[in-house]
Amino acid sequence: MGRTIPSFRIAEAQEMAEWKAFRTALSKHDKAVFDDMLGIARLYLSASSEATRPSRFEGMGMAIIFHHYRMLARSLLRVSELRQEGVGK
Amino acid sequence: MRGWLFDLYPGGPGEMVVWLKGEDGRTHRLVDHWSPSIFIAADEISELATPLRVARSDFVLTREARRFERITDTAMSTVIEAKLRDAKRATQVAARIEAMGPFGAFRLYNVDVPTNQSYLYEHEIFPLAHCEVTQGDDGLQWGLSDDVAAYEYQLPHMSSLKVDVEVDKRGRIPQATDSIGRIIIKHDDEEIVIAEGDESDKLLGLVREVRRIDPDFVLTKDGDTFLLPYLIRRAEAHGISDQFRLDRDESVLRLPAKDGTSYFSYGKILYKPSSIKLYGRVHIDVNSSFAYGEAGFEGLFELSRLCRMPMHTSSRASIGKALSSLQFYHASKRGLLVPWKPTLSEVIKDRNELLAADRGGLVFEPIMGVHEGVGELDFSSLYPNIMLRKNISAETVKCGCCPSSSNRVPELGWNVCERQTGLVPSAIEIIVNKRLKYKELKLSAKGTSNYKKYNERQAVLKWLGVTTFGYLGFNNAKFGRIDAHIAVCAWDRKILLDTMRIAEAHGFRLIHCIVDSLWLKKEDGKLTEPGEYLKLRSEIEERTGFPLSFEGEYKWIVFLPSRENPATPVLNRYFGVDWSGELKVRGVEARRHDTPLSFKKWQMEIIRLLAEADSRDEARSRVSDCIGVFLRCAESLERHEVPAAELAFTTNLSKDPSEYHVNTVQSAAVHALESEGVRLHAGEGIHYVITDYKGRGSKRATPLDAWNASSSYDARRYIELLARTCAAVLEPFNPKCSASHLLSMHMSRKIVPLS
Repeated sequence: MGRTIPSFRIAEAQEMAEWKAFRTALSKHDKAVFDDMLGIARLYLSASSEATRPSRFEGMGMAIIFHHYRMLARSLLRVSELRQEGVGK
Repeated sequence: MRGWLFDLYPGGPGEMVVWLKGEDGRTHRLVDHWSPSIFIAADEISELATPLRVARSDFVLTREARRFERITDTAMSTVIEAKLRDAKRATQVAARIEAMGPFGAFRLYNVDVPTNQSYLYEHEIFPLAHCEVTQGDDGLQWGLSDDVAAYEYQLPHMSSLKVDVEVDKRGRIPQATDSIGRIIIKHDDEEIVIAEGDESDKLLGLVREVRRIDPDFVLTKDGDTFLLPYLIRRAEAHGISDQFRLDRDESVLRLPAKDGTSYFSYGKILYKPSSIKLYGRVHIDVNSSFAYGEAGFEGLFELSRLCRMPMHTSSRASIGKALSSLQFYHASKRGLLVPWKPTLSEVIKDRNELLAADRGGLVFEPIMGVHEGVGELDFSSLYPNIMLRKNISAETVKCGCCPSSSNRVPELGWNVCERQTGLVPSAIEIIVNKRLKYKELKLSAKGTSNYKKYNERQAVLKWLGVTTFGYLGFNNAKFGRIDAHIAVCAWDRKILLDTMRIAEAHGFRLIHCIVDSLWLKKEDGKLTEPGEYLKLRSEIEERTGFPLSFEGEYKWIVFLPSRENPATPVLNRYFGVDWSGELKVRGVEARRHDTPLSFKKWQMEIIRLLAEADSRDEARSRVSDCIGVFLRCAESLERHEVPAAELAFTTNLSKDPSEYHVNTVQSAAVHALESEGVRLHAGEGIHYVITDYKGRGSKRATPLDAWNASSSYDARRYIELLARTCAAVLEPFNPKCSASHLLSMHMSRKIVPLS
């Protein structure tokens, strides 16, 4: 008995390990950016786990896209607020 | 004769020895003529003729009986009940019968149920039960005047004695060949030191004192791993082993037949030493007794009574083993056999169903940082309550009798039996009810001597409840099935997600959630109105149907990042203080079992200083006082004022000592112990002090047992580690208060203002 499917935390670490070769080909600066990007997936582990997609990369990819969209939406809102306050006119 | 059942174990073939603490204050040895039964089944009962004929000398009698063979059976089958001539041969007899046919042809039951537990189940009695015993023609007759479900019960007067030994070490570590220095006995307020004469005199002096005091409990530290094996070996060395008798049965104390066992549990290798039993007394090795360590004597008594396990067994057993005993009792009451080799497999699932089903409880990663005005809500015994209220058990999930049941597992839609209560819910009902009652009694007994009693009893029941869930999915559990485990997790996710939605509708934001606990605060940092959390709690209870407790509102609480990756949140690593001033600290160094004692003490001193603050800003203003604590402690390390025992790291060996090849401080300590002749096993715990972190080989660390006046710890390394420990709890309040900043302040001997 016991679990057959690893928890999303473990699955995600396995997926990250599989992208090691991609990471190796990046410059030192880009490696840090790449690590940051993959780290975003860890912020949405519960949601990725709830999604129960057969490919673990789907959950991770959606988490990264969602996080970037969220940041973009917040940035646009802030830009709009600053414009209303007259900043940059 | 009236009294309390104290101990029982198989004597000679066909005998059960029972010790009774009489109402007359004396301890009585009784012998019952009784043998346990094993059960044998085959597809056709006639197929059993040959094995029964071959093994007939091992049985007192054999007869047909009607029993449920498998937990999922809805009708009883005809099986053979075979009463054993010698209970100690149950496994050999069973193995012999099983080998007479292909696997599964001869199915064996109740083979590994401990004999004394079978006796308790069959006679409906339990350890420390108040009862009346009479000698009948067929053996002892038991009249029970006690109730296992009682919250208040009278216990006999019982005495305890502590034994310790000082060894005249020739090397740095005590060895079995070293002589006995002194034997120290503590009984009530009396301390008896046996130091006169040669070793034989000392050993026989111990025997005399134990006989004179006649304790019920003998408490030792490392009695299983060192103390008693050492004394037995010394008695052998002097040719007096036949006189070395410490139990009430006056039997010769012997070394266990086999070494302990290393085993894997929840990602860790652990070691369990073989126990040394004192017949008619209870030997408690305080360092290897989970129940006594977690819940004291009252917890041990409650566990033994409830699970119907002799106290010696329950003092050493894992909680899972105790839970199994409770399940075996309930199985025996409903005529269900206990499989020797369980073969119940999980229900076949396709890929998509497996993906949806095979998940744990709900976890929501914490929002890292310092938060104010956070409230904590905890579901009370959530998993046991799910099993109880939703009737989750191996045989009830996807049962064949109720395909259109209205009791469905969320997300998965599996049916759950509506006709019959499952074995697991039947067994845990008493755990859930008694724990709830003891918690109430504990609260009402605050400030009285009963507080400790109720607290210890509820603590042991808490562990039983936790284990119930794990045992549903444990591969060695006799009545487990992963589908039942999956069903509990599915219910947990539904309940927690529903709770999140309700909280959001009340204007709360979820800060963290893990399985059965939630941390919430008002959106946009608004303050809660008085009673708002209680109102939320009532609505959650009403809508989910599960009891919830409001643990309090924190003045501030910190959710910490991962130590490896500061951008990543981790579960169960936080500390905070509520408005009553109560601290809650989880996962930080102060709570970890491997942290040196002094580091735990110092980190807690810092947390307490911060806890005096009512807000995040106020706590931030106290950071410089906390840095003062760090500087003071670093200086005492530098001056070598801290005792080695307070700097020792504790760790369990994750592998066999011969497999340690990389030069780490831990492997240095392992090799140092081995070179002193100590035999270690995977899973065993060791304590060591770092002596030269940057050195090579065994110089890097010294085992605490080998520490002597010439040993010296690596102060520089300890100061580095202290800086990390202090920074872990200070950085969230001031990001500039990093370990490197603390170290530079120590080097310059001054507090540098942190803007």
